[in-house]
Amino acid sequence: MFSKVYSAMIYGLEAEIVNVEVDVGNGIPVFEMGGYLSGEVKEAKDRVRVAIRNSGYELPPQRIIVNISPADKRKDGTGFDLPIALGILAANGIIAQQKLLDCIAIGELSLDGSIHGVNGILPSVCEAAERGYKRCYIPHKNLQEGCMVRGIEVIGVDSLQDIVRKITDNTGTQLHCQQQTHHVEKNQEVIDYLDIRGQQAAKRATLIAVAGMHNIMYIGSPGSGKTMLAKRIATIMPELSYEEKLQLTKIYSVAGELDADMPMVQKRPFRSPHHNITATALLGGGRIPRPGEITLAGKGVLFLDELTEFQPSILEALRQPLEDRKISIVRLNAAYTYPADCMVAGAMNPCKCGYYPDRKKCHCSDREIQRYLGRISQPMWDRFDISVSVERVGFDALSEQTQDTDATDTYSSQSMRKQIEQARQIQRRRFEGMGIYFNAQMRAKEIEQFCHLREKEYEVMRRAYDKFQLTGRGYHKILKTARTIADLEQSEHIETRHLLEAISIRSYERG
Amino acid sequence: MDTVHDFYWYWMCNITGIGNSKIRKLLQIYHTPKGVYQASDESLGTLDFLKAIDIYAIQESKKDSGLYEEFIHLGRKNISFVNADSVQYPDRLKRIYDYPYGLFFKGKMLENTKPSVAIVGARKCSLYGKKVAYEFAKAFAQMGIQVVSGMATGIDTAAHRGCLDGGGQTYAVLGSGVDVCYPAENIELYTNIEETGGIISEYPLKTQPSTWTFPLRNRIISGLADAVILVEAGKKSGSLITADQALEQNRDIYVIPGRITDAMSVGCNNLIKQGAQLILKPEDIWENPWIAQMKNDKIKDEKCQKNTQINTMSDNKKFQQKDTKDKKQLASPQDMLYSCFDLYPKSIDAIAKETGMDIAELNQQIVELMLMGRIEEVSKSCYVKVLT
Repeated sequence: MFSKVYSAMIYGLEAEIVNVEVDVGNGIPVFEMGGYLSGEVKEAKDRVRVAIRNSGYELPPQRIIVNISPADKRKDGTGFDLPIALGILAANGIIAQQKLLDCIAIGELSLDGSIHGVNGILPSVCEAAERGYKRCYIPHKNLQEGCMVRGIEVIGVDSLQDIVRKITDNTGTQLHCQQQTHHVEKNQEVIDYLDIRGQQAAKRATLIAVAGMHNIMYIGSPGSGKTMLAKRIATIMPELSYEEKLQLTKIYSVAGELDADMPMVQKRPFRSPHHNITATALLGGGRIPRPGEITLAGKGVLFLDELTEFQPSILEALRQPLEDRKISIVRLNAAYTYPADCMVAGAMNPCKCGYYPDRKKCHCSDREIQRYLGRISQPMWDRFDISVSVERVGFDALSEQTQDTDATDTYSSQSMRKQIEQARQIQRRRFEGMGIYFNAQMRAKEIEQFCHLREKEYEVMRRAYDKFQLTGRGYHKILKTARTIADLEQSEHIETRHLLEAISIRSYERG
Repeated sequence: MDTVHDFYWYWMCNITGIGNSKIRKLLQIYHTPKGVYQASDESLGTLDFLKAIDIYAIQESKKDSGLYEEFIHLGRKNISFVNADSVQYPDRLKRIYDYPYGLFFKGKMLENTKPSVAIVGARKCSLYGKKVAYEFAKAFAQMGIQVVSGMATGIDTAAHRGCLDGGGQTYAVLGSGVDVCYPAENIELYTNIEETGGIISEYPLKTQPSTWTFPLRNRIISGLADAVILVEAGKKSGSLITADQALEQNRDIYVIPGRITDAMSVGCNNLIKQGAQLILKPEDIWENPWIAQMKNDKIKDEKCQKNTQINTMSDNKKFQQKDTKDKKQLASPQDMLYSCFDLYPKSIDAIAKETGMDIAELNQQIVELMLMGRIEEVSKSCYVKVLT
């Protein structure tokens, strides 16, 4: 008897529907599997056989042949256990074949017949919905994740017996994830820029950076609050839209970073990999390609603390994806493209000991300071439009009462977010249909179009260009930042004051 | 004949292990380098200050034919050699007790008729120290005073730079051979000094610097100068050795005072406590009798005298009244802001706190001030006042 069950495999961030074909017949009792399978898929043989027996189904000794097609694409993961088991049961007449025609099944089997969760459920369910399948049987553990998809019936199953019963009776509960997500919020700590005393300059620079999605570099002595500042960047970004949430959840699903506590990505990600990270973990890759930190930080913040401590080769490898906003991982038999659409915040000390220019504490020679800054190459510096120094806060500012001062109020996360949303709205209108969304993404053509300087501003820029020995690239970075500052004030033209502020927060350039 | 005579000197100053004190003792016995050269091994063997290894070195150096080649072709490298007998040998140096018997130099040799001042200080110094050294050296250059220093990083470098920018002659005394640029990053300065002034050393060519060469060269720095100015020196700075030697050599020491809490000025302040003189502006140097005398000797021509006096007068004024003059040129909010800056780096947050200004506006004003050349950014968002 022949039977066919549909399942899905992950291919980069996308899923593809595969056919699991089973044929049972007379002959020497063997269990053969084919279809370019990796080790863990082949192991399914024993799991499936034992799980079927332990679930109370009697299988006569027979010749079982399984093929998973398309047979020219490599299959990884343990999600094929369930469809194989269903196929065998259907081939033996325990399940009616026609009931399997409009559904897909994914899940890993345990020897006792229970079903474990797997990674990459969301893209698979999405793909099934798009292809017009009616039902989707997925592990109970992944149910909330699967329920995000609309237009398909998603049914959670927790054992082989359970799924057989649900298929035969055509029953199953459809959950909607919206009902489920409330308890998630409670566990997360609430952070706000109000927690940070002083640091007006750094907060202002952060506001500008987030408004135009400019990458920002914090330079400051140890313990001055660089990390605190960066952690709060995500709190002032606008809320994620449903599409963005779905897209992010797909990424996290494939990466296996979702769990019962977080079935869906609700907040903008803040990723801060340690500086001993490998290139693969940062950019994505591995034998079975998996998205890296740069992809996981999508729509949010990638924070590189102690930037100078990262391996230079890794930083250099980061340059190209930051420019293209995507990263391609090429394997012999396939090429995967992951998005890399995040804002980068870097943090570093001003010198080796961390206290320059406070010469009472810093004993680094000029050469050492130059060498320390030189650990980050100029092309890497060019990726940062804005840099700002973070000063150690004095005791007065630390002990200050928050309510007393108006100044701190302007830099609460809430009011900053409001300003940013306005500035981003302007940008959205400006770049409609151009394939870019933020000022930071402007290329030479757009800069010329949108950052036109009038005579007075032009004169200021000319003086600054000579005085600070700017390069062409540095000049463009200043224009982009000035555009964002003007947007924050909702000013149509770039005024002198915008330009001057942009100059003061420009990033480092080697003279 | 002259070349041969010079070569005997050159030979004597190039023997490994035979330093200044041994040369002195040898000359007391044999009177001339030629006498030393012709002394028999037996005769040398009787001298108790020479070890066997020294006598061996003397024998070996006589056999070294490369040395003569090197001596003949010194000119090609723009290097000269003067011995203590030569008329070119600086008079000032001759007056100190343990003057070097031979000096190598690249470029020019210090002029006897012009006043000269040594500016020394620590390698690890503040920006303020560097600025002061630079400004003093520049002012001296404009007054026609030669500036001597040691080309080390920090104060020394700033002093040389200042003198060069003021269009004067500056002389660097090295702790290595004159053809070895130490520290290597100063190569640009090294070539610039060579063009107008000179690089001086008592060590043979290709000698690498070592810990003991620096204290020794310090005596030459102070020896070449009429007065020594100490800019910044910590508790154990090598510049204090220069100061000690200057005292032994009967040179006047002038000290730039520092804050009493400042670790980089402890040495300076200690010297003041011990009775060293203070110097607060470059013109104070005329109080030095040697330099004043030189000035009077030199400027006999009345017209010339008048000019320099006017020059120094205006310099004087410039140095003292700079702040008030500057403020007059600035508009009032900028005036207030400018007065918040110091010669020590100050961060933008500190300024914001002092002035109570909005950060956005402060950023703009600061860039304006930078464009006007009133302040400078030393590190990200940290600014200092510009002295000039």
